[in-house]
This record gives sequence, structure tokens and C-alpha cells, in this order.
Amino acid sequence: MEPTTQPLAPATFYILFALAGGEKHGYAIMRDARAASDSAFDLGPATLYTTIQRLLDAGWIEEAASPEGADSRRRYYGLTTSGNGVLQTELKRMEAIVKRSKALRLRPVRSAS
Amino acid sequence: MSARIYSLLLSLYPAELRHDFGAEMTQVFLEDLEDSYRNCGFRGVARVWWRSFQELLRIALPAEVSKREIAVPIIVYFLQEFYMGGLMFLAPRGPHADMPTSPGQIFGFLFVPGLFSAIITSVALRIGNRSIPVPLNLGKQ
Repeated sequence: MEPTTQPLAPATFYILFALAGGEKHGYAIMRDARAASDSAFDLGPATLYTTIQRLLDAGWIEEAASPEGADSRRRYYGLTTSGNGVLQTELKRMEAIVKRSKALRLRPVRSAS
Repeated sequence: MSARIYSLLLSLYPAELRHDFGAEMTQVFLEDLEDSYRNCGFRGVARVWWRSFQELLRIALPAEVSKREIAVPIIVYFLQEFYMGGLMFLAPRGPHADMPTSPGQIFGFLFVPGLFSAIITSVALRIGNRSIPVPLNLGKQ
């Protein structure tokens, strides 16, 4: 799969974002994704592994060797160069939106009450 | 107990996902359940189960419905309902005054025959699929 110019789906973004900090197993990815979104994005096992399957197929992540002493039942995943490129593109896109909103002096809408 | 129930739910997910990640999914689910109970008590446990149910509807169900063995009988059912129902709706009423007339009545009248056709189609597809030999990998010797 080619790096996309379209915004990433939330599950894809949070998994890539979690793996940017280093290789992790499934539950650690889930925890980090939740923490990164301030618990706003609740990633379940089915969403997590459906997305991991797609990211592995796309070559954006890869299976990594388990650290010494780690639970042998766990599989670890890491970001590939291509996956890192996709994440950087997404972060730049978000940064550009924030810059643009600042230039437009957008303010959160306040309720009338 | 939770592991057993989740394993049952897993059987509704696509076979490829189950084969590649089934064990990991169960492990992640149980770890999450344990952490949620430790941090939020039964509310946390309820949240984890509710999310699993939502995932089932969002991921497992569409994958299941897109399978030929499920989709074709559903199509057969609705085709029969619309075709037979259309004929009954348009048919002259003369000697058959007791025939259902409103669309609701017609759909109710045709529910059992439609269901029967759908079940027959489903069984036929399953038998047909079983008799198709597994293709050999002719590309690699």
C-alpha cells in the first residue's frame, strides 16, 4: 500500500502513534492509544487486531523480536520506515490544520446559556 | 468464565483474523478486563463487555453477512417476497376474496415460504461448497 494523502482512520493513527515510541505488544498499544487520546478513543481487541492485520499487509508495521524475558505468548510489533513516513505525513497535516486555525483565529464556540 | 464467553464470541469473527490473532485477542481482552475491574470495578467490566458487543456488531456481523452462504439466502428470501408479493398484490380479486390484500398481510403470508426457500438455498450452498475440491497450488512445484 502506498503512503496516503488522505487523513488516517483513528485506529490506524493511534496504533502508528503508539508504535512511534518503540516496539510494543497488543495490550501496550491499546493502553498507549487510550492514553494518547485522553481515553476519548477506546480501542477494543477486535478493532486493534483488524487494524494490525491491515497495517502488516500494508507494510507499515512489522512483527518484532520479543525482548528477553518477555511473555512468550505475546507478539511485539514495530513501525517500518514506510509506516513512520505515513505517521510523519499525518502529523504534518494535523500541524498545518492547527496553524491554519490559529491564523483564522478560530475560537471554540460557546453556548448561549 | 470470561475467557470462555469471549472465545465463543471470537468464533463469529472472520476465520483469518481468528487464526492469526485469536489467542492474542483473548489475552488482550482478559488483561483489559482485569485492569478495568481493578481501576473502575464492575463499571469498568461492563464497559469492556459493552465495547466487545459493539465490535461484534461493527466488525464480525458485516463480515459474516458478506459471506455467500449468508448473503445469497437473504437475497433469495427478499426476491421471493417481492416477486410473489407483487403478483398477489396485483392479482385480480374475483374468486380469491380471502387472499391477503395489504402489503403487510402479504409479507406475513409469504414469511414461512420465503424462510423455507432461504433455508433450502443455504443448505444447498453449504453442500455445494463442501463438494468443491480444494484447489491445488499449481504455481509452485
